[in-house]
Amino acid sequence: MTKDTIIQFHNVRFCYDEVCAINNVNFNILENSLTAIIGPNGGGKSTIFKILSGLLKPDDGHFSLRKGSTIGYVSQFTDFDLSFPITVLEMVLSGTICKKVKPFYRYKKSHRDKARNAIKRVGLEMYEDRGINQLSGGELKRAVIARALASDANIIVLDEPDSSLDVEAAADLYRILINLKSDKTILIASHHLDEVIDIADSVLYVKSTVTKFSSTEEVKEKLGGGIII
Amino acid sequence: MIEAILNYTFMQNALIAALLASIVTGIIGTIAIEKKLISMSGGIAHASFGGIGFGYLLGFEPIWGGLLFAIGSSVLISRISKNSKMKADTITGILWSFGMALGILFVSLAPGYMPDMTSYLFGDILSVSTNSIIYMTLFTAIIVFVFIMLFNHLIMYMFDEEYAKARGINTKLLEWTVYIMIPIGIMVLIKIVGIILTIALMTIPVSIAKLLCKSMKRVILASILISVLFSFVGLIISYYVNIPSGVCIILLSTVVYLALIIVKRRIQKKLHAQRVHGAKQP
Repeated sequence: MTKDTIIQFHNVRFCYDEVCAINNVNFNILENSLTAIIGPNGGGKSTIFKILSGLLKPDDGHFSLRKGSTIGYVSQFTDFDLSFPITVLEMVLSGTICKKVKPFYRYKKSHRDKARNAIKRVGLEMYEDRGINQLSGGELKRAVIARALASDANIIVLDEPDSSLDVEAAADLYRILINLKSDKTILIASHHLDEVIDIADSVLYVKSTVTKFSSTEEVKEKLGGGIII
Repeated sequence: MIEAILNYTFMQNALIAALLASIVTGIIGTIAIEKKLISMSGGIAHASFGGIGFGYLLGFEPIWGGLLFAIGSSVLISRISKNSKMKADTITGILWSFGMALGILFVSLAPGYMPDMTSYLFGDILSVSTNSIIYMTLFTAIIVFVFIMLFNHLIMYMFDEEYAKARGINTKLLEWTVYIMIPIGIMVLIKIVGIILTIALMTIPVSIAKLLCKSMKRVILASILISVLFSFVGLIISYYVNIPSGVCIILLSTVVYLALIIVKRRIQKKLHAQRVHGAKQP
């Protein structure tokens, strides 16, 4: 792993039963960069994210993170229960929780400060006492990003955070991600090609294997601008 | 009524039992609702009838047999649904009826007259013995202790299990904790509302609390208070009119829940209309 490389995938393969979602995947991600992960549905974007987050283990090959790195995973909201009685602050606070299940574990003031800072970074300081069911789609996604920030993760992976957002909410989200790049490494999977390749430093096109593009011009030239994958 | 509470042990026991069951409702009901384990809880409650019958057959305290069967079914449902292609719903349905059938078989095989099982099926708050209060207190204490001990991790597990896994939290430990706590809680509720109505007591007070509160701690506290209120009113009705306590409690809580939903919708409509009207004003 070179000095600036923070994530490295080497010949990674993962199969769900008989079907291989990704095969022979190789790529490097540089520190404090924003990488867009694009590709068709079922191409393996979420599988790569789940491997990165430790939810899946590769069948073959290996991936490595730079020593001391941690992942903040922002999943798609398919399993998210909006009726769950939890406020924005409580949800973001849960990002600071101790990994070890310790008896009588309680949040300290330092945890609350960290959660409030994360909420501020995504511009939700006015909403910290709101229930999550009182947030708009865009606000909710920002709150989930704040939870990942509160966890002190230096790598944030976002699985289609801009799906089902209107143009304005998506633009707010992209602005936040650009700001986060100053001290975080960001990976974002998205179907909004034009928007994400404009803010990305590099693009990974995932369709079972990975093709890396190091400039937005190259992506537009090879895949065509405005295409919907 | 107050005189009866002061003078009769059965009334004092009924009050203590109602309080214990309400605490259990607030905790276990919330967990079961948020983890979508309500129908599994129904299956566990019914499967426990096999153990209650087993206790009658062998002549030991039926509630211990019930607890054994309840924990056994909970573990079975969890393991089979995780390790095979059979869905949790299917295995729950099988254990639901198997437990009931086994219970009836054991009770009918028990020597002597066939006992009246109505109190186990529909609950009888007025027949809770001092012995029952002891084990109900023990079970409730275990649930409260474990819940307070693991509160923050349990909340995270209930809210977003995938994120908890991605954070590297031992979700298996939390899952086991939940799958053991639920059957223990059910055994407390059975004495009050019976096997058949347990799901309702686990669901309705929490659902009412969720209409009123937006944070988990408040939902739990509110469901405990709501459950205490329903249980006491149910107890009063049960005392004056000869109807099983479980029936009174569930009918009352269902009516209140439906009324609250209607009231909440009307208020929301009114507020929405006011906002629209306000926006149109120059």
